[in-house]
Amino acid sequence: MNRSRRLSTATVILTATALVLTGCGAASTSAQAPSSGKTLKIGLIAPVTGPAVQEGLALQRGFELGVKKINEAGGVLGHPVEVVTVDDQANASKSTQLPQRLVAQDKVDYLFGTIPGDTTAAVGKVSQASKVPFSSVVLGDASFCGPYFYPFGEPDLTMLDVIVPQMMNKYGKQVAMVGNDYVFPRGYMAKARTIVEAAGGSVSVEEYSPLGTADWQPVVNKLSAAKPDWILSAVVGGDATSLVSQADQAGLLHATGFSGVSIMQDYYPGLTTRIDGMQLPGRYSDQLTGQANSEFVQNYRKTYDFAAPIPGVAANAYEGVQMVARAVEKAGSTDADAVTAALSGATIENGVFGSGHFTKDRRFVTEMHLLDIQPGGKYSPVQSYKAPEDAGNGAQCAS
Amino acid sequence: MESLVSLLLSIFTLFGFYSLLAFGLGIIFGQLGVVNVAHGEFVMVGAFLMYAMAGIPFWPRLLVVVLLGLALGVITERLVLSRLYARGFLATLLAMWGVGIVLRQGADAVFGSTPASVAAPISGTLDVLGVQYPLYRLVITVIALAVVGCGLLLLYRSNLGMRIRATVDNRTMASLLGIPPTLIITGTFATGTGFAVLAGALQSPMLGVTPGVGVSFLAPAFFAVLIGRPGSLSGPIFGALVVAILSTLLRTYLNETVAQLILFALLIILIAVRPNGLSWRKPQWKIAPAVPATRNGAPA
Repeated sequence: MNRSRRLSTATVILTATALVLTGCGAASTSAQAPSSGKTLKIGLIAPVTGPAVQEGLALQRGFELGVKKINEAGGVLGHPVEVVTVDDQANASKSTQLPQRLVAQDKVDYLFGTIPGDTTAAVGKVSQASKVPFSSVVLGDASFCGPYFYPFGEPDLTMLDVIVPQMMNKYGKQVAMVGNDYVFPRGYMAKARTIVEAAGGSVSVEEYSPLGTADWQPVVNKLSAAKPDWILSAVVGGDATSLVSQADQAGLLHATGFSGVSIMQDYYPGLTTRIDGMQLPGRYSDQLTGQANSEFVQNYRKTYDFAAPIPGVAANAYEGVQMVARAVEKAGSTDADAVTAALSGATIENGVFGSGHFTKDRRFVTEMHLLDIQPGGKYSPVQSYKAPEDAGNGAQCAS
Repeated sequence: MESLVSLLLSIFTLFGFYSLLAFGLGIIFGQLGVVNVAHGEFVMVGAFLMYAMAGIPFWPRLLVVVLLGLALGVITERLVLSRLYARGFLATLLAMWGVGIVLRQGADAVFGSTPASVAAPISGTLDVLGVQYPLYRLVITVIALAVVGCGLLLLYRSNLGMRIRATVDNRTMASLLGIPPTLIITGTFATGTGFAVLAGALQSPMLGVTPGVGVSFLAPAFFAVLIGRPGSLSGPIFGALVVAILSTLLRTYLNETVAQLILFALLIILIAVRPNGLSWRKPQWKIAPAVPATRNGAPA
């Protein structure tokens, strides 16, 4: 074989490897049974590559365990649930094309998943246009509203209405806000600012950095210069670890209070002991008691060989898909209007996070907990409270 | 006063990091003509190696990681690049793009996507003219600049450096003069990779280490190389200073997102206006035509 042929072969192999590694393959279908009129077929959009891979994997894992439980109990309408999984890479353009393919080609009855706000809006638009119900499971208010959209994530207000007044009482009324620059952190901070100002406090500095920021020193300098009593952070992913590490090295974490979604379970493996003793609100913790959660935690750890704190998005996906299955069962068919009508009145009882239901404006609410972060990543509930039924400012989906 | 000191310290620490990155990228580009788009992934490898070998004390671990980085450079150059130089710039660029993907996906397969962290060997802050500044940042900046300084001394004040510069200027001529090009090329690529791996290892205690963590470091390093006269061996360090000053000033006084937008727009304009890079020397076209010199060096 001459040199140029060897190089051509190497190029082909490299290209093929690259395509495989970047996940440019076909969608995967999990169930073996052929689709029939009564079989519930769900299109799972899980960003298991790209910037939201961590949350995407948790979403996929929780969903898989939920479907496994449904099918072990006999499936839906007498058939096992079928799943077609695609990876949108948290990329909004893919989040339009892939659901379109799931609806048109794979004939799914329900769309489920995706993570960031812009991809949620993209899938939501496909859902609305094709009249196929859709549920997301990531926390935060969605930037989209439609009659077929039933989000299972924690509404912003449920994550703020207790922690903000408590932090103000504990540390003081000067608050610094920092987040990544996209839809969720800005919406979350806008609601937090309203609560802070209503309680007589003020925001001394508010900073947003693009996703993927590694050097937080200029932001840390600004936070230090503002001399806040405490910091509310909506920096996510690997950025959360970078920010907390750099704030810690600058002595900022010891001098002020710190809370927000940056210290939630998903990020503990990177944050480790730096955040021990901090508190944050949450719907879910693997430390919650109850039979359903014990079973879920055991299965999750065993199936995925997972020792870190279990992310809330996995619990939302686990309970969410089961709630969808119950709604289809109640509707007696996979008809979109019948299923959404059933979802509106459906509840979760004795789930992994207790009970939950959709409000009139289609926000999913449950009992919330104040979680105390203890050594080893134990997010222990120290106080429980009822989530507000009223969405407060910016009601997204009033019917 | 405090804000000025804080600003200068931020520029100083960012310059240290960028100079290490840009020096590595610059010598690979200058010597091999390879646009190393996997440079950010080499930074990521350095950070992950520090995480993976957490059982070894920090400073010896740093040394081990750099040695592994050099080995990674040798392997990459010998197995991938050495076969592609003849096929030109695009082939090596695509190959390095593939190497970057393989490294990123490999890290994902081995370490997963959950951000990892590395404990810093030094904690606390240092009082610099009334500003409490993270001590670890200052220490690693001094290390980075010392390494870059040693690299420059090696390049400009040693026989080896002379051979490297000769190979950069004219590879064929250098080869005819008995300088082994393969050894110089492999050694240069390994050194550039080693610098990137060292940069990642030094930064690791300040990062959420993920497979994608290196991506954000590539653009500033490229701009530093382009500003500092592409192909120049020392120019990227001057470019790193320009990028560090612009980046810190803009991020201090503007919204972060706007600052990054303006930074890259400014850098693009700068490169468009001065495609041959900036120089602290007087531009060639302003210098009077050379006058033949007499034997003792004085103008005739």
